[in-house]
Amino acid sequence: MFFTKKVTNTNTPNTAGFVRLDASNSFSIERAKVCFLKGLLIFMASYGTIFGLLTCFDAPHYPVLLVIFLLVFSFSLAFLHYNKILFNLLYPLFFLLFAYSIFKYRTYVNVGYQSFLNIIYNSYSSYFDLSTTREINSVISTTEMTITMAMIFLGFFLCILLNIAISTYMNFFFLILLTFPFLQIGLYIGNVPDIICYFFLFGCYITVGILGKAGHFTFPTSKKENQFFSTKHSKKMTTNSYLTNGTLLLQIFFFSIGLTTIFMLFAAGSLSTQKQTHSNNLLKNTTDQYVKIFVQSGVSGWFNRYPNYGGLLNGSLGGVGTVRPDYQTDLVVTLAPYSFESVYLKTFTGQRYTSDSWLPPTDTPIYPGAKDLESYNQYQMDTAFMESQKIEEYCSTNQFDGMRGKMKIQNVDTFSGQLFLPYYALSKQNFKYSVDQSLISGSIPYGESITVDYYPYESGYWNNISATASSTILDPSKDTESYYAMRCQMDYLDVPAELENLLQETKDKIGYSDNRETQVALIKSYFIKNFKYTLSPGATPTKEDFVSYFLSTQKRGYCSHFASAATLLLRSYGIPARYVEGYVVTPIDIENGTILNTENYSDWLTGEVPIPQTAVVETQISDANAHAWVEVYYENFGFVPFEVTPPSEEASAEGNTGFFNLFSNLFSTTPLPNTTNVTTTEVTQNPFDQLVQQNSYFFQPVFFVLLFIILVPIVFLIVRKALFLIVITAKFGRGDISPRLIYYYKKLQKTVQKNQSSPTNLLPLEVFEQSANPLNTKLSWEDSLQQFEKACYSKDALSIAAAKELIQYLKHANLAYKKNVRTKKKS
Amino acid sequence: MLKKIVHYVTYISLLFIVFICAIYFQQAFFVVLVFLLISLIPITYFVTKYAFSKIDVQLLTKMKSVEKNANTYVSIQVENKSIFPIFDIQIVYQMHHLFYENTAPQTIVLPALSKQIVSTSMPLLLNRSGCLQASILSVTTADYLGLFSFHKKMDSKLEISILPEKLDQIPYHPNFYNEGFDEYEETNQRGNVSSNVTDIREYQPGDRLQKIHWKLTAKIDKLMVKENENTSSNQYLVLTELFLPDNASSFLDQCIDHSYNVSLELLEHGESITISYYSTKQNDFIYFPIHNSEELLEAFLEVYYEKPYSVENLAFSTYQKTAINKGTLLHITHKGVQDVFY
Repeated sequence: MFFTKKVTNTNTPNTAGFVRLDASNSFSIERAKVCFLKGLLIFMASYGTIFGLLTCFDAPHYPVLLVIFLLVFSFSLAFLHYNKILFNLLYPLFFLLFAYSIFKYRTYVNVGYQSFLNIIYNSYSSYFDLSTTREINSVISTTEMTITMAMIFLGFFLCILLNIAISTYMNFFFLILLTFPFLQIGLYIGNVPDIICYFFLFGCYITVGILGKAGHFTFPTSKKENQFFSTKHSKKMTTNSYLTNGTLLLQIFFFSIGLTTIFMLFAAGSLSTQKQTHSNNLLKNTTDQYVKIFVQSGVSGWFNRYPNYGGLLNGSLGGVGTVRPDYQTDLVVTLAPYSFESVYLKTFTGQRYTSDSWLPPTDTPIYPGAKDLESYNQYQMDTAFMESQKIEEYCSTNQFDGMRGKMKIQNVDTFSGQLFLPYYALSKQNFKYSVDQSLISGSIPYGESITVDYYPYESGYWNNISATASSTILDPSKDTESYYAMRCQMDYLDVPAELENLLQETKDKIGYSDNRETQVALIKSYFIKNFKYTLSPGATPTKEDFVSYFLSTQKRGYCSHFASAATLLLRSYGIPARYVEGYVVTPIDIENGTILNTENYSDWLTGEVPIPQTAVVETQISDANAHAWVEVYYENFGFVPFEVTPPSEEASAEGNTGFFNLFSNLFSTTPLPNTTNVTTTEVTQNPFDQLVQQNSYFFQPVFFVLLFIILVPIVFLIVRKALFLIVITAKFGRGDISPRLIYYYKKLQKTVQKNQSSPTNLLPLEVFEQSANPLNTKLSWEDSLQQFEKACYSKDALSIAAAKELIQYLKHANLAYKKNVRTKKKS
Repeated sequence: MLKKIVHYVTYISLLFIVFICAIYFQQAFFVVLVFLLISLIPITYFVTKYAFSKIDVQLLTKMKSVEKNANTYVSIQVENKSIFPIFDIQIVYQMHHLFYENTAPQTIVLPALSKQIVSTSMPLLLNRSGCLQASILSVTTADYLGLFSFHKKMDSKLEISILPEKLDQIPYHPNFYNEGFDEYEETNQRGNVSSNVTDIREYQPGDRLQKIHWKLTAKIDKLMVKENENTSSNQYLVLTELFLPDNASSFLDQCIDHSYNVSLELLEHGESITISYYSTKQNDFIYFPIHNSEELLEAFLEVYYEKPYSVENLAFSTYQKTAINKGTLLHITHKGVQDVFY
């Protein structure tokens, strides 16, 4: 009041009279300095993080390329904040560029990402003593290049986020949240990054911490504001505070760097020390367990509803969304191979099906023929080892020199409370076991092994036994075998009533056969045709029945799904069957096993063997070998295993056709080579696909140009219209009725005019007269015209209510007129 | 204070989180980060303390006196002689017009660049005559982490005299030209009332009776009169009212303008004038005999340090009561030359 600040400043006329620092640089230079500093900080943070991540795991990469790209990204993004126009124009462009390039180089990026993930997995597996391996198809062999490209894109994405954290907020917490998680991947298992990364990151942290506290890092967004000082009024006093000063920020940066250098000189030794030991910290140990599960089974591992032992579920169903084997050796099996078929090691038998599990037999009635405990035990032994006894009988009766073998099973890391036995173990064994409910049970303690004598099972090999056995029906109360056959008919034909309809429908689709083998083959064939084998079928919803959900909705699953469904289907066909779990030793496992040259083949396998003499082989069995299958009861013999799980086709050429493939072909410059490890199905490509793929260099820009030409005007028109409507509605709300009124009148006029023979401009009288439709509106067209003319020409303003009524009339008139025209045209 | 509490809480939380991470991860990264965070406190404290001790803040201006409505500025200059920059030098300053109860202190926050002088100029448009006093009350800064504050008292002051505006036309009292001018001639006669006796001479017709030196006349039996200073006989007493009813009023400013312009005009006519005002500080009239424009300016600069009063015509009424006669009285108010008395 008594002395006022001048409107113009003689020293600095450009500053429009605001207080500014004397002898300071021009506004643009100050801005440039600040943007430069922010760019430098973004680069330090992004490079420190990405380079740190790479050096943590000694991943191969091209450091110079990474530096160049990150420098370009960091400074480009920081300078976007130079002014609003640059920001608004170039930010979307950067995003588009990012999206386009990541799409274009997706093969490289994906391979690089997978390769790097492999390296991380290996490190974590080593840390947790896991033998987990990840399978990837490396279509590009130059790992350095692919990893560098993946990291460039990761870096670019990180730069965008860091640009927000640094340029907009200068927030220390935000910065740590963005950078530390990357380093943490390595640090968690004691892998330390290169010392230069620490230098960059600490330097950046200190600078951002100090600058963030001080708060002088932003420019005003509006040109109307004072570009150098901000003013704050309080009751006591007015405070003018300078906004920012590029030179000062740079000086603080150098101070921070100096401080960091001194720190690094002291701390470099301890920072670069690799420390890969497990901690005694309880919290860390707990986290370790979760991380281990994550490495083994992914995120879904944390949500599995029950534990599994070496891949075995012991009858639990549906709680595992994804099966991720850890490939850690659970058993070591030594045997002499006798056929090209898989060898099954059974451990769990499921008799009763609930909606989410198989329960082992628990309440089998005592054999009525048992007079004492000894005879009861004998019944148990007879029924548990029924198959081997039948074979033995058959061999001795028929003088048949059938196969007889020996198998050594060592428990390395599987559940020690279970016994794993091949088909068909003899009753005389040199290890302890017990028999209950006609099943053999026992245990193999960790690290210990058992040697099992058995008659090896091969499909068709022992068929004669069942066929040649006498089919005389004896009194079940006196004869063990007859009683057991009766029990099997009772116990292993049970199907839940609520599934009967579904099973019947499924059976109708599968077909019927009198032969058990054929029936099983039909079921398997149905599964192969209509179902998909996958290790990631997703967990069954808690309230759903496992088999019902699998057969009707899910239609994909792993062995437990197929074995469970097949068991119930077989039962509903009237074939006694049960669900079995255990390990399967495949011919590939045997092929990959170690040949024990010191062992004598004849000590391990004797008799008539279907394949020529092999050798004694020691195989490593992991949870990847955990399996579920079906046992079918044969009268006069016992249970015979059947495989009902279809082969895996997870990585087949599925998806090579269709719209999305065509779309992706458009962006693909090089056709992807076929992966080598996976069985691929030949898919005939249609000529249009081929044409698109071959000429993608040409189609690509054409596609984008067309997209641009079509989309931009459409979007522009829609947005313009929307904005216009918003504006006129807002004006109407404020009492300015004219724009909205004119808009609806114009619409009506256009409609009426369109249907005129002469293209002359219609007057309001003509418009109202021609579109008159008294049936649909409250107002007559004369009244409406009068109101409209009043709104247009009279000094007296139309009230809002009257205007609303008039607009309503115009809308109705328009619709009615259109309808009339359509009706006339039709007639 | 609240800001500082927030800084403390943030810092302690950060330290706590990093400390927990250090225990959890048991990695050198966090140990170093903890060490860094802890050692940053003394480092930034001592660095800021050192740098602040090397900070000098000055108030500067180009012209000590300016004409009213002329452009001028006051600069605040921060000199940092250390190598460490400081973010915020918070300077509390006050711009004080001596006539008016005015302006709360203001704060300006400036950076202190290392080994550099940073200054900011506050352009001013001074539209009231008087004296503007600018002073720095305190200088404060905080360390880089915002945990500690440092204060400093600075003794930097400056004054800008705002000279009255030259007016094209002075609002005169109607008597000033009609009657006053004749009296002006009359009062210019020899033997008029004067304070200093410079000579004694024989009586001449027209001399005032009170000028007769009666004692000497009786001695030598001849009418003798005292000869006063010539100036005193035709002197004008420019009585300026320092009346200010409220802060928003422009009366005082107008009064000073009028007083200045009347005095200037009288000086241009070769007349001797005395500038006078009533000082409420001394409860007496203050007189400044003026012979030239320089003396006039000096007199006004003295007036600027006086305290205005809220009673209208206080000087004039007091003058009347005291029966002092210092010549032709020109009573100057915000309306112009309000009254002329002989």
